[in-house]
Amino acid sequence: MSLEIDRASLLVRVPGAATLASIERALEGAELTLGIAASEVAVGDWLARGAPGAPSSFADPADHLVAGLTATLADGSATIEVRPSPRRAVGPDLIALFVGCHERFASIDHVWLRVHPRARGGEPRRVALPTEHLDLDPPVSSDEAALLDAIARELTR
Amino acid sequence: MADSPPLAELTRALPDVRSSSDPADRVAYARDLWPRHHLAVRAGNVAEHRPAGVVWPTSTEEVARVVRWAHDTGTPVVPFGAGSGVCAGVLPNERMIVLDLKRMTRWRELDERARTLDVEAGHMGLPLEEDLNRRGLTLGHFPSSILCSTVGGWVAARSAGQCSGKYGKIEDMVLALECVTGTGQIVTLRHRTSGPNLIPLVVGSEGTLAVVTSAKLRLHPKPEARAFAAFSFPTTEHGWEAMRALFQAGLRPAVARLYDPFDAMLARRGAVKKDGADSGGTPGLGAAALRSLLRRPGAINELLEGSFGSAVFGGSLLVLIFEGDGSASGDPDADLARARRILEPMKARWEGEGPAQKWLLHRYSVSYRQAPVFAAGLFSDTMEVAAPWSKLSALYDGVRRALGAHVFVMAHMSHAYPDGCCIYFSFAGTAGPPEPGREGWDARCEATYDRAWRAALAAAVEAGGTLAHHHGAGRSKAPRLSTELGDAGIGAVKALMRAFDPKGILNPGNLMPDAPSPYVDDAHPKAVTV
Ligand SMILES: Cc1cc2nc3c(=O)[nH]c(=O)nc-3n(C[C@H](O)[C@H](O)[C@H](O)COP(=O)(O)OP(=O)(O)OC[C@H]3O[C@@H](n4cnc5c(N)ncnc54)[C@H](O)[C@@H]3O)c2cc1C
Repeated sequence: MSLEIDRASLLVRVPGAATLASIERALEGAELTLGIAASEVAVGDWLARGAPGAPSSFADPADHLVAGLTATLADGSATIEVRPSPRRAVGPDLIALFVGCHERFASIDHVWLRVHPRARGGEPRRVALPTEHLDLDPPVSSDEAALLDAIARELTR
Repeated sequence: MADSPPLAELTRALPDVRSSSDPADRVAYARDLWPRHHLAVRAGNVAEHRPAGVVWPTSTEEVARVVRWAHDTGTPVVPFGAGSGVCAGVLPNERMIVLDLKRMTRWRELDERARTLDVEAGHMGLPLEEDLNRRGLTLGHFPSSILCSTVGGWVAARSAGQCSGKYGKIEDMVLALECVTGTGQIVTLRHRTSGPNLIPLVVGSEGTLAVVTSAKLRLHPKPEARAFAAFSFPTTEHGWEAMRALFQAGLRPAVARLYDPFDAMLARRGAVKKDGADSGGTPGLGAAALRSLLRRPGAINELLEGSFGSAVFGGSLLVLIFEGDGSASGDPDADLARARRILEPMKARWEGEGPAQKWLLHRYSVSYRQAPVFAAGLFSDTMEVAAPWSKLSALYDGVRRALGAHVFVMAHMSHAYPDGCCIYFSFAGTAGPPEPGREGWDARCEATYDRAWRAALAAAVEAGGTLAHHHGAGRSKAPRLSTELGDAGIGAVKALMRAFDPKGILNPGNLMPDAPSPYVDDAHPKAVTV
């Protein structure tokens, strides 16, 4: 597996086909971890399912899971690159087309993920408020489904 | 005065929706606060881009009726919050209707248990925060423009507040959005962790995908306790390494602001108000001196940047504020003690609590100094870029050099994350030498302004940074968007626009790299010649 570690930024670039477990093993030598339960699922598939098991983005608002990625549209017509950046304000966040969308629009070729030092000197990581009262997984409404259909149509037009 | 044709049709079709084609209203809604507009205003072109008229809907249903009418008649609509945007996101013409959301300010639902508020998009920032504070709550979103911006504008432009270190940017706060798409359909988009989440597409879409009518936002308890601190460092780089160490250790200071040596000198002086050459009025002797000094920005920048600047101004300055509820798990003093342990071996010098307390006291003042600078015959602007930590040095040097060849530049860093940071450049410049077609003072200022921006945007992308961290792209940066997003990325953005707004009536031209750019000459070439 070709893995590129950006130690200063605590980011790692991995192929979408790499499994979480293989990434975790590769990170071990660098004293880093993904900080999630490592399974044999490919990271691209895992993200396409919305990254089950990852902490909610509302738990530590200044952090995030995916800093950038490249993905190829479902019809193979183009590859989109979202360069790694902690945040940006240059229009719609295209990462939302790939994470949680079950590969409907594109499949992830490579992804820049956040990693964490294994040893934090014993001091706990400080995060924001608990999120148990937030409804973070409502069903997809018919209006949203219609928009998703329209996006699928227009992306391959 | 008779209504202009599109507005006359609209008032005929929707007589109950408040509207105006009054000349004063059309002037008031002709632009946002893109600083390049100020040059046009100074040159006497007060409102070149007047809309046909303005509508003020009071409910989502009214917004939907207006947009449906616009869709049926092919009339372009520009959503409008408070017009504090700085990238020409609002730039109408006489065929367009401006849709001002400011009469939509209701709180739809406050859920104190889940700590969420569903609030209409036209609500202004400061009264919202004050009302929440009275209930012991905070949104945690404090843009410097909180006095003159709306919830809808924050969402549409992907705004960042001064406390982003703890609460995140606006995109990190939105749980649901109600909006009206370009067909006039009302849709509610909801955050979803294990399925498609359309919210991040509309956040930052700058009025091109949908009109945001309400947002359900995450709230927090109003902080009970704060801990203040400031540290100086030999250089700016030492300072940002310190910020990186704090955020990567898991600390989340609500405020973490690092000033370069010159900006630090201003911050130490508490220079957020009054006196100096930019105190406004007619250009006086101070302004004249400043103008001639700024004609050679390269030399000044070089002088102030290196070890000389650090020695004279006392190095960079990091201002930190930790917030918490005072409980064992939210104790800002404990956070600060931990921060001190991390920073001590990093050449940090303790500067006491004063600079941080002073900053908090004047937190909104500094941004409103622009008008006097323009009145003095100069111009000023800001540019906020971001990159992973590994690229920050290249981004800082590249953009600083690019801007510094044309304008006087200083920088601070006020939005840090575990994986990177935003650099906020402030710059001021003056007219360059006369050139064909640009003889007048203001036209020559424009030429310098455009050169500085073109060079800086190219340098940001070249260094691996993003073109904008929280001001958005608008029409001012749109010509350069494809350098960051690539043709495929731009293709995806256009596909989204067709999906949400098939007739392209919502803020047409905004965020579009190939749209005609009325102000910026040679906007489109990808290869930038300075
Ligand atoms: C002095 C000053 C300080 C500033 N400081 C900050 C800061 O600290 N942080 C920061 O992030 N920004 C800052 N800004 C920039 C500006 O305030 C933000 O971009 C803000 O989010 C714009 O809000 P607004 O309500 O004024 O939107 P507007 O300027 O009216 O609109 C901005 C864009 O959003 C669109 N839009 C507005 N409302 C809606 C809606 N309801 N639905 C769909 N589209 C809509 C418009 O069409 C336009 O493209 C500052 C600006 C100034 C002048």
